[in-house]
Amino acid sequence: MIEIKNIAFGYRSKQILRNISFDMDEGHCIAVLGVNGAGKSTLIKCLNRINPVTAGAVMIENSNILRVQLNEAAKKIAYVAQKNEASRLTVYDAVLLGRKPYIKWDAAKKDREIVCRVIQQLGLQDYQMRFLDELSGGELQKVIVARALAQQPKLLLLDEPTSALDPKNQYEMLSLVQQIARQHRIAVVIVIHDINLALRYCDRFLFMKDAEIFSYGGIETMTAKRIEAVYHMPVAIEEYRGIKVMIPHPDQFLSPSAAV
Amino acid sequence: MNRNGVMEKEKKQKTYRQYILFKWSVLLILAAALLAAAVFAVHAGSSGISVWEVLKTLFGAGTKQTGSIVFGIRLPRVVTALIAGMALGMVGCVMQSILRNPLADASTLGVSQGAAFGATVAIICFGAGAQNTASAASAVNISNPYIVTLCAFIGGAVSTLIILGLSRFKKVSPQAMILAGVALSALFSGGTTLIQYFADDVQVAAVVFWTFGDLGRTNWTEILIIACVSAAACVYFMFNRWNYNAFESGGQTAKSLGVNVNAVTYAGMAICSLVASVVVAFVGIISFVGLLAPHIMRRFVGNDYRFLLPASALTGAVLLLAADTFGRLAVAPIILPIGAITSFLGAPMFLYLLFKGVGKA
Ligand SMILES: Nc1ncnc2c1ncn2[C@@H]1O[C@H](COP(=O)(O)OP(=O)(O)OP(=O)(O)O)[C@@H](O)[C@H]1O
Ligand SMILES: [Mg+2]
Repeated sequence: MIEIKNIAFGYRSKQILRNISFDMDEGHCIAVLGVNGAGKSTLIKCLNRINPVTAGAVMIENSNILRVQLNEAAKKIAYVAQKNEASRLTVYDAVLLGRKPYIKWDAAKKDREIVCRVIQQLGLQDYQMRFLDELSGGELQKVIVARALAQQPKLLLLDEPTSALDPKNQYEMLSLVQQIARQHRIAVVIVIHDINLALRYCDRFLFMKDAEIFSYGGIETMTAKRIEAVYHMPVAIEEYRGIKVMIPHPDQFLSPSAAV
Repeated sequence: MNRNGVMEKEKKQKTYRQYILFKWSVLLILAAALLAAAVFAVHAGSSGISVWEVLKTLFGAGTKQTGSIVFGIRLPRVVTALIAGMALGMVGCVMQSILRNPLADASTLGVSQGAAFGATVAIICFGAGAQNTASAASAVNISNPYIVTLCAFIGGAVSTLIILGLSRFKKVSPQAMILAGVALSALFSGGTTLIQYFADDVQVAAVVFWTFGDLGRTNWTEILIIACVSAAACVYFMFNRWNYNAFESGGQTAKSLGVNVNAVTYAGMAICSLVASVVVAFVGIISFVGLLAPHIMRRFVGNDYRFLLPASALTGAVLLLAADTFGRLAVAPIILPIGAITSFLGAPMFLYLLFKGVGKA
């Protein structure tokens, strides 16, 4: 179990995170939801030591990741940023960078095998020798996720990993992440705005509001009332063959004026 | 299906191997070009030693006369060009990575000018240069290379600190950083000129070459100092090549990959300014080599610092050697100042990069 304890963080002027505590089970995907500017990206960066927390701990395998060496932390936590820079590295080399925490002098055979496997899993073979700055936004996003997977972390932090992907790739990406999480017992924290994707592939749902956790729990906590309280928007939650889906502004369908 | 998978994997492995092989062959070709250029440079000149004689002499089978020309005159110059070129190419490459600025180079950031100022102070104010040499032309025999190096480093470090401060705390754009470099260059060049103004003729002759650079003044002690510092720096840089690769995806991502961004930045810049200062202390300001070399090699090996670093070093050496040989032969027996030639090569490249748009470089 991975425990987040009492994380607090603020930028110079204002407090962004207050007293954030929650647990994660290995193999689970945790969706982090909330309005723009709620502090989702900030939370992820705190778990990852990019933002220095003012208080709190991240316990993975009984050690506080916020206190160990950066290189050791990088073996436990991988991170995919919301915005990524495309540089003049080939896809292969970019994914190989995920092995960086393990590499002493040069990449070993094992590192290269892992990279090949991840490249195959994400279907990047066709452009593995192309430069990142010649890829489309979605292709780049997949490469960055591949790099994070190559890190073989215990905790994977994804900040809107599907924002640039087409619908097919969104579903493929998330089902792959879910599958890898279960198979390798990785806890995955996914910041995501697409609630339907979250409902489909995530096991736990964390709502952030006013610098605190508004609610945290399994799919049963995803009620229309909660979602409305966070997003200030009327929604309905329906079930379609056992899968929950969210429908925004359901009353518009019913009112005759919307049919025009 | 399984066999298919295996075959597929083999195909993948092979493409990667081909691609690594390509990069290695780039390095090999560069090394070969460098060797050829070096032999040619030793051979080229007024005394008319053939290439064959040069080779024989280098392997210890030459006559006394060819020996004295090769080992006494030509070789020090060529070796200086080789080592200084490698050092400058390497420094430019690392600075461009650390500062995330494709326009960065020891000369564009004012580090070289700071170092030249420091060296001038050492020679004129601290008397580290020889005073009593017979002719002004040969007056630049630095009598205390260590003080000169130290002062040059202090001068270079001042520029480096200011640039680092701007990049870390003000997050200035690459172009603004270069503007700061221009200001620093002007400041230090002005200081150098002022000091020269109050110095006597011999001393002025001794410091004037810093403005243009000169590869022909180094003795073996000085070459050894440059070589040792550069070699140590090279080892350090190569140990950090994965870090520089990680820098390519931005500071935050680099940190999440386990790179101690602050340590790598500060140590890297300190070493860069040390190497650049040592080079400047003994051969003067040679502009743009560190800018040109990495940009040429990026076309072939991309931003993969595993290969870009050695390739930049080799290219820097080839460039400097070629420029110097050209400078010696073009209007012989007059030797054109090396700094002027590299500027002629580098300034258009610099403008080209600006036209192309710095961010996309
Ligand atoms: N570097 C910074 N300095 C000051 N304030 C910041 C900084 N970065 C973010 N903030 C502020 O912190 C708050 C939380 O930002 P954060 O990026 O975590 O939001 P988010 O939940 O990820 O939003 P989004 O859904 O738009 O990505 C915002 O109000 C933002 O303006
Ligand atoms: Mg965000």
